[in-house]
Amino acid sequence: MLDALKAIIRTVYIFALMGFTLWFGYFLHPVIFGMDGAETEEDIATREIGAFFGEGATEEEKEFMKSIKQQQQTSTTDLGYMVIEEQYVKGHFHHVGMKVESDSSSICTGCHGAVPHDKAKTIRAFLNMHAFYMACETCHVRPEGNEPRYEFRWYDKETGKVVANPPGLNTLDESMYGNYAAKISPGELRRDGTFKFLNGPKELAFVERYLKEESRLNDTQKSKMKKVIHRNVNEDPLICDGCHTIVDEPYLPYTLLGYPQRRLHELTSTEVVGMINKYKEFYIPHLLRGGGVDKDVEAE
Amino acid sequence: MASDDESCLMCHKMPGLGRYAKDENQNATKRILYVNEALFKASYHGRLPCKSCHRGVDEIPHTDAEKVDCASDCHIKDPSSNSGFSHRAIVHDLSMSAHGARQAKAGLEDDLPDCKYCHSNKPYQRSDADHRQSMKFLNICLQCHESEEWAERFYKHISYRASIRRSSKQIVELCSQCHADRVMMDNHELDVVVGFNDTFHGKAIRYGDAEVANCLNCHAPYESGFSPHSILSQRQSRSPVSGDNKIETCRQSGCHTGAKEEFATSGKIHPASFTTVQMMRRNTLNRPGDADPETAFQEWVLHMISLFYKTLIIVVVGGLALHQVLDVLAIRRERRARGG
Ligand code: HEC
Ligand code: HEC
Ligand code: HEC
Ligand code: HEC
Ligand code: HEC
Ligand code: HEC
Ligand code: HEC
Ligand code: HEC
Repeated sequence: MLDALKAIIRTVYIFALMGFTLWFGYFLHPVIFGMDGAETEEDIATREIGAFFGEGATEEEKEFMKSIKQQQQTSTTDLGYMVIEEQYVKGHFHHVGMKVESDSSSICTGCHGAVPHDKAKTIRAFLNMHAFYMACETCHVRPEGNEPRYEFRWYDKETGKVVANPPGLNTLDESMYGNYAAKISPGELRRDGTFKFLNGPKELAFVERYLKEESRLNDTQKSKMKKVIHRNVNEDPLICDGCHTIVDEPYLPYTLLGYPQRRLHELTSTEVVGMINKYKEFYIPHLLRGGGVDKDVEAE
Repeated sequence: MASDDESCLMCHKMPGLGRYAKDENQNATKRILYVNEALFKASYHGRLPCKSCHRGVDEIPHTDAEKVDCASDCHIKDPSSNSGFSHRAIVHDLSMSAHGARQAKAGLEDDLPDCKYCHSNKPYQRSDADHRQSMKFLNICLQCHESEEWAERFYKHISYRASIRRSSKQIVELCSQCHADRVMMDNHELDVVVGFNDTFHGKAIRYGDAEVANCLNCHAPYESGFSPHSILSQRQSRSPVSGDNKIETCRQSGCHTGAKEEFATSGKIHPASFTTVQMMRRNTLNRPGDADPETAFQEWVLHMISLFYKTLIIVVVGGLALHQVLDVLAIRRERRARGG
């Protein structure tokens, strides 16, 4: 009996001491070894550039790595009662307060990026804003001639599948507008009642395949493939009036997409429309060539 | 809705509003024109109309927008004096400090931090991690003041300032973004502050000690009338880290109150990281390569002592661990011999 007790005490003592040793080592390690030897941001960047480009990275390649790193950087602001995590943009003053889900099922963003508009100086920021909650096809692909109208549904930015109308549409909290993790996109209702988007997984796979093989194609082939990708991209994309005017049959079926009457009135209010009209005064439409034909190829 | 009588948020509340802006070198930077309404309203500036900072902006499209100038009058009154409020004084302080364009090396002004490098439009922190505790105090205000929104605003206004606004870790991180950047500091002929994390101050900060000195407690102590905006070079005699002022800085606010004169002059505040000899740039005009033999010897001795202790610790702690393992094995064998 006494022996058993002794053994237990001994074992407990030994394990406690072992635990203490490990903890002590763990705790003291940083005190004694401090930070020396730890990599600085700069070291890490240099190492990553080295790993990527080999030894002699050019200035441009270094810049490229830096910009990629900046894209991935997030900033966290701990407010005590909540933590804001958002993309880090150097010198940005107002807080964004959310992480932006990237649209992994769009077939266009792989080449054009998520912020594609740049040419039309007065409205480019608005176009980019709409691309945040609308697929590119919504404005860039329109039924031609007497083709039937498209149907529209929301899709999940991550999975690309049809989802129910976002509940955020009905909130009175204005800071939720536009931030649905879903986008409106055109497509057609099949006979069996299912919905098919104009561009789906099949088209996405085609684009991904093309991007992989691109370096092996010659210019004519590339231009042909781009034509295929852009085959239904209209030269004349939908602009502001297309959606922000009161008509019996609006281009987007707002009610079906879950917009409450109140929002519909706001979107066609004199406030919004008046503002849009001011922008229109200064907006000179560019003639888009569509088709994505490279200039040099076209010149041949 | 004091902040949005101008209905700026009709457009700026929409996420995704933005574009890439290219500079002369075709480098694109992302410009996010979205403003999170909830976070803006909860921020320090939440009660200001957008136009009090964004001057111009009367035209649509905004071809007339002026650059935000923190020294301009923001159309609110300082209740203590009833005069117009602005950050003019701070802008002036900063321009006279080591971080002011006037003091810096010419042509390298872009390296200097401006207001928004160090400040974003942060929402007020609750002074107390325990929200309920805060609410209890707010109820005291509500005994007399009617509007909860008003009382909460001023409650936060004051309680936020009464607590630590940035942890020492955050300060070290902020200053290190530039002062640990070897290339940038070389351009300015300043020593790069990489050894700080090896000092006792640095280590205590890493363990979350809020009492120990961070960069600002030495370089701009509020106690002696400095602020983060009036950091001076050690070569300026008014600087809290120059010559005779040093000892006063060490003695401040209950830190090294009993410190003797030699305390501040013996040893290096920012130690070397053994790879380059530090703290001898502008004041001695030595390059790191040609440190004088005496300093180099000192560094070598320091390095050896450190190496000796590290080895000793590994041997002792490792030996202890090994001893424990062997001990357990011995018990097991003993028991097996007895039982089996
Ligand atoms: C394989 C990459 C790729 C994909 C995928 C792609 N594009 Fe393009 N797109 C291009 C290129 C390259 C151009 C030609 C740019 C130029 O000529 O300046 C272009 C041109 C365009 C233009 C005309 C621009 C102009 O100024 O003439 C539009 C509009 C356009 N794309 C829309 C889309 C839309 C909508 C989608 C998705 C359905 C899409 N693109 C998918 C590569 C792509
Ligand atoms: C709200 C409707 C709308 C949406 C959504 C939209 N676009 Fe556009 N886009 C336009 C209009 C209108 C123009 C023509 C602007 C002009 O006149 O230059 C345009 C122009 C372009 C151009 C020409 C180049 C440029 O710099 O302006 C490209 C490329 C383009 N869009 C790609 C895209 C892609 C990719 C998406 C999806 C991520 C997208 N667009 C979503 C309306 C839209
Ligand atoms: C394809 C249809 C479509 C086109 C084209 C379009 N919009 Fe919109 N716009 C919308 C929808 C839908 C919303 C509401 C988004 C939400 O809150 O979910 C909206 C929201 C807005 C808002 C925010 C209004 C509010 O009260 O929330 C503004 C401003 C706006 N659009 C301006 C423009 C401008 C400027 C253009 C032209 C460059 C334009 N829109 C083109 C469909 C469109
Ligand atoms: C305390 C002053 C202040 C107030 C109030 C303020 N801002 Fe700002 N805002 C700034 C500063 C400073 C910047 C950064 C400017 C820069 O980068 O040059 C900025 C940047 C912006 C930007 C990005 C500009 C760009 O080019 O990247 C937008 C958009 C913006 N503010 C909108 C608003 C709106 C909308 C409001 C009102 C709800 C508002 N601001 C209120 C100070 C203010
Ligand atoms: C955006 C980069 C940046 C940040 C952030 C920054 N500094 Fe500086 N600092 C500089 C530059 C550049 C100089 C050198 C100016 C010159 O050329 O004289 C400098 C100079 C100084 C000097 C004077 C050195 C001397 O003896 O001449 C001190 C002290 C200093 N900084 C402390 C700090 C502290 C403390 C912080 C954190 C609150 C900080 N700095 C944050 C860039 C920065
Ligand atoms: C080197 C970094 C740095 C720069 C540059 C800087 N500040 Fe500060 N500022 C600080 C720090 C650190 C504090 C201490 C309070 C805190 O941590 O927010 C502070 C405090 C303040 C405060 C008091 C804040 C409060 O909540 O009590 C104001 C106001 C302020 N700064 C305005 C400015 C203005 C205006 C400029 C530009 C002229 C500027 N700052 C530039 C670092 C900086
Ligand atoms: C016992 C009643 C009482 C309590 C409790 C009280 N106040 Fe007051 N407060 C007043 C009175 C009365 C005034 C105006 C008299 C004056 O100016 O001295 C005032 C003035 C103020 C003012 C200045 C307003 C201005 O524009 O001049 C602020 C800010 C303020 N209180 C905030 C608070 C906050 C925050 C609390 C809670 C921590 C609080 N008060 C608690 C009675 C109270
Ligand atoms: C314990 C007080 C103390 C702390 C904490 C401290 N410093 Fe210093 N610092 C000094 C003193 C004192 C000097 C003057 C040099 C000397 O005496 O060794 C100095 C010098 C400097 C210099 C001038 C270097 C030169 O070449 O002239 C810079 C820059 C600097 N410190 C930045 C920082 C930064 C950044 C931090 C935070 C990471 C920091 N300091 C933390 C006391 C301190």
